[in-house]
Amino acid sequence: MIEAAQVTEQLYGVFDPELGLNVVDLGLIYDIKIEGTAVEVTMTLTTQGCPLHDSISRSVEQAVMRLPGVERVSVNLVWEPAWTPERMTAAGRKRLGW
Amino acid sequence: MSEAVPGERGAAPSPMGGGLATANAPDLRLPLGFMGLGVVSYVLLNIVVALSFGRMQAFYFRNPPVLVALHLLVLGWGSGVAMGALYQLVPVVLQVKIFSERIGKVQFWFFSAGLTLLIAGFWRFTIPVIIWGATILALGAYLFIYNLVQTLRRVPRWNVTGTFLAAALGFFALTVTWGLVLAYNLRYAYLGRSVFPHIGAHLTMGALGWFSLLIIGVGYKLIPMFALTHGHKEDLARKLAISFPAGIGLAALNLLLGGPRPVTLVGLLVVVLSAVLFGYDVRGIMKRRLRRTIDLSLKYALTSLAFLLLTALVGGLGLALGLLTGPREVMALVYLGLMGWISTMIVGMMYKIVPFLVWYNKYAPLAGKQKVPLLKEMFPERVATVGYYLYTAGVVFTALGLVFGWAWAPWLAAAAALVFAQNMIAIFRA
Repeated sequence: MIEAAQVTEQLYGVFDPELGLNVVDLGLIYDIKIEGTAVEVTMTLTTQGCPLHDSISRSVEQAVMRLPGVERVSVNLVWEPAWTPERMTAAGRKRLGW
Repeated sequence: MSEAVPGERGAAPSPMGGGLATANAPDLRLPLGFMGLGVVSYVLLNIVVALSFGRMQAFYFRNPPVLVALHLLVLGWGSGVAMGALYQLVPVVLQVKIFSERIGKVQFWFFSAGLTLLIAGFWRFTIPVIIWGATILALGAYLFIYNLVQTLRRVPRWNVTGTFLAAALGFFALTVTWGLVLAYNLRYAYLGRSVFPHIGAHLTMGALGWFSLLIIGVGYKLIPMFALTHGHKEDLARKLAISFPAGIGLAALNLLLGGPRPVTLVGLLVVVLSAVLFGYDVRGIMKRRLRRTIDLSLKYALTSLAFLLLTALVGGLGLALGLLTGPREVMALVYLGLMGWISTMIVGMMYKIVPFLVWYNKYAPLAGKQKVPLLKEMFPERVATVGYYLYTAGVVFTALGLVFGWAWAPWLAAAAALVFAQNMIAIFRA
């Protein structure tokens, strides 16, 4: 049985290659829904028109797919609600120099 | 992120994997070829300056090493990198495919061949070779502009960067055309004494119209993106998208028509004021940034802006007080503007663009499946930092050296160029 916490743990290893910060600490992950062996991740990005945008969402998909017991992953990329810096974790903020 | 694009919010969720951006991105060899052309030209031009320094302090007119260095800089380095970057970034950032990759490859060869001939022609000052080179190069440039214009016409959501880009492309076309006019003038001598204002117009349209508008327009997109500044208002940018081209156009047109000098100065003054306002706007973006640490590229970008303001002020004062009399002073100012403002910004952007290019093609398919490097891990950061200080010192001392005759100064810049080239190779191999 997969749990959301496991998915989140896995996503700590997925990085924005430019910022050098993982997607969880960046506050990009909005929701994780699990139905049996299928996982749906709802996420956003810091900026639209970001050249790395599909690579990041694809890495999320690939990373979750590697979890044992996961057979299907869908990544739902949304722009609402818009990402704001307040969504970053304390660790994330520290990494960016705050 | 930035309020740039009305209507982009609430766009349909992108399908996972192989999204729009991958579908739009061109074959890697297209932008990479141009980057290669850029880096080679950049190293060459610095060596030419260092080896021919004495001759460069003489009057610029028809002075072979000046012409060679200048055109390697603006055509090989500046325009080469610009074209490569635009081929890669316009599809990904504006979400539209390049109109024709085929035209892209063809124009790359015309441009490179034409440039080679042009440089060879300048070096020995052989007029037929210059004319052949200029003609073939112009064809390559016009094809590029056509390709980009056709691409931009399909952009679904316009923004202020698009306006700057369109204006920049227009000036690129005009600059190249005037280059042709000057080239054929060598043979047919129809310009007479007005060759000098025509050269002035050529330089103005190129340095200010093509490069500066391109850098400023792209900067308005990239600086908030990299600095992570949220919600910066575009009002000032929209005004500058009008004032900059207007000032440049006025100055250039007046030079070409042989109008009264004060009109040219008014045009340049509008440009200087716009540059100051742009500096003020960037300061606002930086103040509200979330990424506190200033990485290498941002260092270069801010340095380049400092040089822009320095050039604008020194140039403005120099013109006003009539200090720009000798060839040395003019060369120093041109060097400050081209190497200080434009080249510095290009180097900074290359440290973002080239890692992105390589990462996107090599590592994006692997991301999530295995550990992949961060962009900044693809080159030795400490070496690059040393390179930055070498570079800045090189520009400052060479500009001063052109006035005071310090022949050692350009070797600093040449060393920096080699460090840069080495890092670019390292990224490619990462």
